[in-house]
Amino acid sequence: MKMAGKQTTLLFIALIALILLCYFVFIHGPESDKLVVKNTELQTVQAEKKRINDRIAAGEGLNAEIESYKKLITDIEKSLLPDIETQVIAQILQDKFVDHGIPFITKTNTSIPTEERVLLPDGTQMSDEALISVIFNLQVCGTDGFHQSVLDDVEATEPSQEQEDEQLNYILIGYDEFISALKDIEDDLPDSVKIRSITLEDSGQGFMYYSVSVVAYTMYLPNRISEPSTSGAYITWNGIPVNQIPREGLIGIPYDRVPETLRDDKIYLPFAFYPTPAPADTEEGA
Amino acid sequence: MIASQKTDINKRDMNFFSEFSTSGSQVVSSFAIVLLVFILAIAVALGSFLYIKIKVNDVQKNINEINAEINDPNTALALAKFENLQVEVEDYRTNLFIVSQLDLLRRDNLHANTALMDRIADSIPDGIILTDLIYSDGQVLLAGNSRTYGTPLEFVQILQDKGTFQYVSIESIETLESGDISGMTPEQIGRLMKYKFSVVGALESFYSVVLSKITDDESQSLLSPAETMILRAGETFTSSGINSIVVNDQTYTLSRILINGELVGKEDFDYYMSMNEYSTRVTQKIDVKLYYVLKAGDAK
Repeated sequence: MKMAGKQTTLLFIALIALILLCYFVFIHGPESDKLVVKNTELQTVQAEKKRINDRIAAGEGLNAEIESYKKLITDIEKSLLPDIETQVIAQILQDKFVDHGIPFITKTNTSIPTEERVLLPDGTQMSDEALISVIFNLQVCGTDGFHQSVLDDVEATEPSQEQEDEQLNYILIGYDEFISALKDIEDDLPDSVKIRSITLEDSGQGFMYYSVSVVAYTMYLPNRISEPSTSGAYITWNGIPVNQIPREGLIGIPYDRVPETLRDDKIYLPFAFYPTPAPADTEEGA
Repeated sequence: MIASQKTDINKRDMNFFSEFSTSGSQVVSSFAIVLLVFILAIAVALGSFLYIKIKVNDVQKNINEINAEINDPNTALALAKFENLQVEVEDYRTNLFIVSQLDLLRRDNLHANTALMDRIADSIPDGIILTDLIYSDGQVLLAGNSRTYGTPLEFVQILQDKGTFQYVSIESIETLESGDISGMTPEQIGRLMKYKFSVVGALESFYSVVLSKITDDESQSLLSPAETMILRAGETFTSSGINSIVVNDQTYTLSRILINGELVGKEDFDYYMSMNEYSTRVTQKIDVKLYYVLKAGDAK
């Protein structure tokens, strides 16, 4: 009986252990694993949510970044002329010399626009955008002070003895006027209108030729973000208002305006009854 | 004796019952303990199970809530907006890169400034008449007449005292030739400046030299990669073997040379051809373009 009681107890304990084992193996274990899986899933979705929140929050930073880029791009875009109107710029440059008292403009010309492009960040393609420059060459000349210029007053008083001694009877115009005109040009639009070269050349006859090359810059920007200026110096015409410019120019030089010394007696005249000008005696005969 | 025997039997019986009762109560007691432990274990297990179940439910609830937030149309909208912003930022970044590079190109171009002209004008000593000045591409050529052969050097020294040039090349200081004074009276000759001078000052420490070999036709294709080098002002740049170039078994011969956009004259061109090299002292930014035509017979 004593053994049977112990055996029963042991059996009971074994049964309990078995039940507990089954419980842990088949019920608690899977549920516990499920909790682990769910916790992992929670961490994953939390990380995903954090990533999404971070991206959304970063959007604010991106907006600020875009604004700063826009400002930098706009600053560069606005630093240059929106377009190069050669007649407008050349007229302003000519006026600078007139305004500074050296109005004897002997040459004005412009170069063909030059385009420079850059490699895109990928290093394989050239940009559509381009830096465009046009060179304006102007030459003016000074006076010798000996010959009368259009600036001298015809009714001027007699030259002084000192002037006569130095043979400077009239206004002497030269380097000072030229350089002050250049300084004016230089100060106008320091980023987009720049002096490229300066040349001084003595004529050997008491006056000098002064040449300047001015380069005007613009950019070809298909994706321009700022509104280009449509008015202002070097952009809009600054000369005589267009509707006030007299329009009585001619096409072809009329005969009476051809200087007699330049008239050619032997030129073929396809329109004339006599294809070449008739000799004087024939004319008389006629 | 019998009495003592009875006493022994009685004692034995009592021990028997005593043992019986002790063993039975022990079994019952341990059974109860085991049962109690079992119940406790069941209770703990059940509690633990319930706790885990609740916990799983809580976690699932959290997951569902977060998923709901992730899948919310507003979140998707915000994400799409962020992605668009990213694309936009990249576009702006590229745009900024391009305009900055173009602006850099503009800044890299050498320009003239009137402050240098002022410095030169203020530095001309007595005995010098400046007749020519060319200020271009980072160099200044000064030419004129001087009373003595040393005055031009004094002029340069005044400029260099002000740190004007990185390098000065004395091109020439020559006395007038007899042809220059023919027909003049001694008085007129006496008033003449007897020397002609020419100096070139380099304004930059270093200059870039670019040499390109190009086909002299409409396509203007590069026959070889352009050579670019940076040389110190005053250094000599030499490119040898310029008369011809062989590309893809075809021989091209030099037809013309452009230096800084200007065509080299026939005399200089012939000289370079006879030397089979182009050589120059670097005192300005130099862009050399050698143009080639396909040698007769090689043309297909």
